[in-house]
Amino acid sequence: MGAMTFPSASQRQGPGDSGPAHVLRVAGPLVEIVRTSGVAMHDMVLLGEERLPGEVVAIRGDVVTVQAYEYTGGLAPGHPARPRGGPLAVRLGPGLLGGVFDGLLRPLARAGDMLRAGVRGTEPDGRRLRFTPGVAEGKRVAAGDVLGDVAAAVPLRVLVPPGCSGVVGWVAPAGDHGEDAVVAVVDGHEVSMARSRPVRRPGPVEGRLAGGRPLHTGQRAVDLLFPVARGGTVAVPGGFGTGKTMLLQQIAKWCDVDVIVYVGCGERGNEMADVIEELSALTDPRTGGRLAERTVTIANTSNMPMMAREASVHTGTTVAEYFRDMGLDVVVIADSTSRWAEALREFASRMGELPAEEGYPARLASELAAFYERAAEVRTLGGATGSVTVIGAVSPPGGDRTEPVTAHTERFVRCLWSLDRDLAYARHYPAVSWADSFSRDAAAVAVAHARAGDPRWAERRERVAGLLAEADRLADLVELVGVTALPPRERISVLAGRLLREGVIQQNALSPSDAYSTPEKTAALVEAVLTVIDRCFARVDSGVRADAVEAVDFTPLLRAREDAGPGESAPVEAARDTMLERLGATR
Amino acid sequence: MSAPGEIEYTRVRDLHGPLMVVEGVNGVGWDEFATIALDSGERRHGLVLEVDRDLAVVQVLEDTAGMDPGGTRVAFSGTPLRIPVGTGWLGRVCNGRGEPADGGPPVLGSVDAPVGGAPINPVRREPPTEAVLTGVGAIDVLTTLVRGQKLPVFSAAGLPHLQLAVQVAAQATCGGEAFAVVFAGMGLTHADAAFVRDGLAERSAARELVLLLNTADDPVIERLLTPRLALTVAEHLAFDGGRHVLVVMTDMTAYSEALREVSAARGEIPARRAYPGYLYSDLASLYERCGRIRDRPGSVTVLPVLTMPAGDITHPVPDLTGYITEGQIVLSAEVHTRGTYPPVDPLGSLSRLMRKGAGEGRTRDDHPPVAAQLIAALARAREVRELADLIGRPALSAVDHRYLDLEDAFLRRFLAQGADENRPLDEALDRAWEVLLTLPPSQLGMIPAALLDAHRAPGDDHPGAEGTPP
Amino acid sequence: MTAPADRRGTVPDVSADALAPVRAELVRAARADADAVLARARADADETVRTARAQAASLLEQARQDGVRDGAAEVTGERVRARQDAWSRELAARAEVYAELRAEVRTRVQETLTNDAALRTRLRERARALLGAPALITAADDGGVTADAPGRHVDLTVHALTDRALTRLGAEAETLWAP
Repeated sequence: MGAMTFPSASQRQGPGDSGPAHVLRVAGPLVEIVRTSGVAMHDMVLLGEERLPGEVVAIRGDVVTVQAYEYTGGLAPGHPARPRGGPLAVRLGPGLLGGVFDGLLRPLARAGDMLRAGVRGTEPDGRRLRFTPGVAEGKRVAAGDVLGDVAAAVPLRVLVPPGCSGVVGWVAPAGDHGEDAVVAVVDGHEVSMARSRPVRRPGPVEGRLAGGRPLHTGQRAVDLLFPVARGGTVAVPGGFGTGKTMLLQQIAKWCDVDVIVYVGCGERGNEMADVIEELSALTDPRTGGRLAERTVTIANTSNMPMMAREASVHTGTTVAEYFRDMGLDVVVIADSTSRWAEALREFASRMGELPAEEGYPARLASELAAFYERAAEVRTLGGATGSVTVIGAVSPPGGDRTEPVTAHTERFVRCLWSLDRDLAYARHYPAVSWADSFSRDAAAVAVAHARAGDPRWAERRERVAGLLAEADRLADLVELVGVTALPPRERISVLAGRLLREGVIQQNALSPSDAYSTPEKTAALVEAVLTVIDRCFARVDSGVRADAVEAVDFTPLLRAREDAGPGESAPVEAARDTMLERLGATR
Repeated sequence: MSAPGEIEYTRVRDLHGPLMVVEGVNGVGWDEFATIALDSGERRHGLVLEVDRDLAVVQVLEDTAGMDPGGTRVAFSGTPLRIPVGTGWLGRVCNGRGEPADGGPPVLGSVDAPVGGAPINPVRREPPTEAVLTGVGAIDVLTTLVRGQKLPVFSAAGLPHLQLAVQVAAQATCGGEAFAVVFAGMGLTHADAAFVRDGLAERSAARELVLLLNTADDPVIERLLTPRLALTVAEHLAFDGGRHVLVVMTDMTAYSEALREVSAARGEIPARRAYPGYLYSDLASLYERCGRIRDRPGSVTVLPVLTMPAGDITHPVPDLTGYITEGQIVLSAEVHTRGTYPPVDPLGSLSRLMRKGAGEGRTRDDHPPVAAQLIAALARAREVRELADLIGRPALSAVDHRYLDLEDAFLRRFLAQGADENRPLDEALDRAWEVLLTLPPSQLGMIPAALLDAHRAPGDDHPGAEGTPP
Repeated sequence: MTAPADRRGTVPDVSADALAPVRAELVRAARADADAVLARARADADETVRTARAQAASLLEQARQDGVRDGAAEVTGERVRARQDAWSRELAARAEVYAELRAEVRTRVQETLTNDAALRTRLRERARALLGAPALITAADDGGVTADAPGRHVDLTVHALTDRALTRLGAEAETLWAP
């Protein structure tokens, strides 16, 4: 099971062993301790008799500054501080799947009703998993090579750990094993299913790939207009009430990846409870099991210790990299990166760092860049292809998109799905604005679609985007002069905008048939609506009055998205034919 | 070794704003509670904001005014502040620090609890699903308050938010289950405080109420403590005592200002509008104490009330509150000017958990469609009104006129309610129907046909668009 | 707000020691007095409620005759007021009982200190243990002592000891008015 691991002091013998130290100063999460030999930056320290976990963030002269991950009430100068002689690390294993953890990857299932400060949850939960060897004894292996398979909701592997290679001296026979049991010996090193990894360093890979394989989210607004490639990065900025969490939850439920890492970072407790409950109730469209079984949830709600929030996004990416290294596609959903940035700001302020914009430290931009940079499609050390896609929510204060977190994030991401307040208030889900969003992966995704047999993908996207933009431009005019004052073709453009918005872009998140849309259904819907739009233009061009076309009942077309199941296109085509017939009857 | 609190430290080095720096302390922990004795015999209280070797920085709840460094002694309690909890609080009226203001003895309890609380384990949370009925039609029907929810009231200066808060606190019930209200007032004028006491006197005498009142002339910094006391008492009544507890906290803007004052005195780097960068987390540490816990009876529901400075919803206090809470009840100056109480803005208000707390088996099966249809109709009515302002009423279609009638009926027949009128949900829903039926049935597409047929009065078969304007 | 209870009291406080044997008896003694005060308050409150009820009945009768709804509201108002009044009296009585308890504790502490020389010595020893041998110890007017060292002060006056004793008593004092 995942849990914080405490490297024993013997793991790194400094010039002198990590000796006893004590606390000098406490100001909330900022704790200063006496420097002892062998303490390095980012090392873990246990503070006080309660052994509150903390991490070394600065060493100045004789004083070591520690960022505490728990509430430090009662901690006093003179209390003991125990450096652990190794960096903040987490335990990664197959048992992570289906679990709910705090920001330091400590399981919450066994933590009691109220979370009190102190060390907890470091012990594995004793679950046994089926291991099947995939390598013969005596074979020479290198880091990243497969030693065996582990049965889980998605097939998992036990790999030769980084920095280890040589001859397989022993491998366990097929059977059930605990996570910590040794399943192989490589060059004298014992290898078990679980391993420990530091959270702040990206794991080693063979190389980054150019990417371009589209990630299907099932949300038409993004799959059609602002697609993201596997290994890409997305920011989702939106003020409160714009449906950010709703969109992210839908993506967690429906996107076509192997493993989902959902990081609730400084968000609502009830919402987190809801996510956990829904994921465990939902049937996984891919495996037939529960969706929760291939999800790892990291819950660090807004009232849980702030500094663990800072760690939680790194913990989440570290978990994602663990599964990626097995050749899996993983998506990390972080809601919300703004709360993470606030934790950075809070601590920087206590450290006395010089503030830049709005009190955020000057390193905000580079911290954000580093976080998103861990997303990639890679060739793993073992030669497999895996990916980590990062989707981060941004909560701009007062909806102000010029504020530092939003502004910097926009620079570092490949895609921006900007949520629009007006759309959200009009109950238009998903409220992704077509005017303020972008995708830098669109060209690569277009190539991938073409290769997969859909050469018209790019053309459709362009037409839809063009029609929506034209309708928006005309909407301003209509407000001034009324629609009847427009020339016929412009009136059809306004109509086209409405048909696309209501018939294609909008989705009903609560409807079993419309909550998610396969690429085929999306393509069918777009083709149908575009065909109908073309016919509308053709009718007015042939002299039919615009109001006669406007008066046609388009309900069958607009209902097609709900009438057709997630992967169906036949009902869509039927609706299109009905419409063409009705339009044919206009005079 | 000494028992905590026995040694008083006398070397006060600095006093400025609400802060006091004490020298020569030993073993004092962060966030400990301090009792300060003045030579005059006066007692004050404080919280440790920082400990640095033998220095302790103490935030003085009653401010440092009149304190002389030479005549001040400080004792530290050895732990973060804990207060007695239990049913001893029911029926009591106290000041913002929890000291009796009702002539009774100090509040005692066999158990005590830290006022900072501890986060509820997200895995142990039970998603909220049942309603708290407030007897205020607009809230119960349109923004149903759900047990375990946090739903703020966004108001502005001059609007009757306090009246509404008191009405809700006086009337709220949980379907006959054990219920209590904890009311925390921060920065209230004496007139307001008296209004609250009078308005809730009945509930207090029935031992269903805990009242904590910090008035405008009470120490500002004390306000940082008041909501924490309220929530600590509430949590115990709920999760150990099995009651459903509604916590009303007003005015959170006054609370946030106190937070800003301490932050400024400490020379912290300010974020938006000089509020500290941790305002979000601080507010969350209060609001997030609501909820239900698996396998335990009881619930804590939080209703914070805040005034938006200059009516600005993007001000940090409403903005950050909105990010944390599960919806909002917005009061409208426009509705207030029209003379309607409570002046709830139906379109700006929203209860995100209503979907789970209203409907068949929870409130009434027609509740969700009626609420959704009413909101949709009011949105349309607002558009029609704006259109009418542009092109004039005579140019409106017959259906448009019906929407204007609906808006009117909504204000008069549904929204308007006496400040002491406890309106049953059934009556409120029936009034909502009455308002909806001002529209022709063709406009009520969100209501299932069977429900619509059941509620339409016979002979109420209005023609649709063909009708003539009145 | 009462001071937080002692969580770490590994070293027994001298005042607690002194009071431990008398505490229970004290509560018993105070209870007798409390019963009288509370009985009086409750009798008063009952009387108020009875009067209110009688008034309400006559108002109600009046209302019936007049057929006016206001009358009924007034009846309810009257009952509520009576209930509030009764509760205020109860609270005031409890406060009185609590004040008497405090006075009683104070007297007992004072008596114990006067009669027990060994205890007085222990009080001084305690002060020295807390502040160190060079601490300046002064006898307080009320029978206890205070002690001072640079930057530190210890208050072991009867007043302070009484406060601490009451804090320790905590919820036990509630038994004074518990039904």
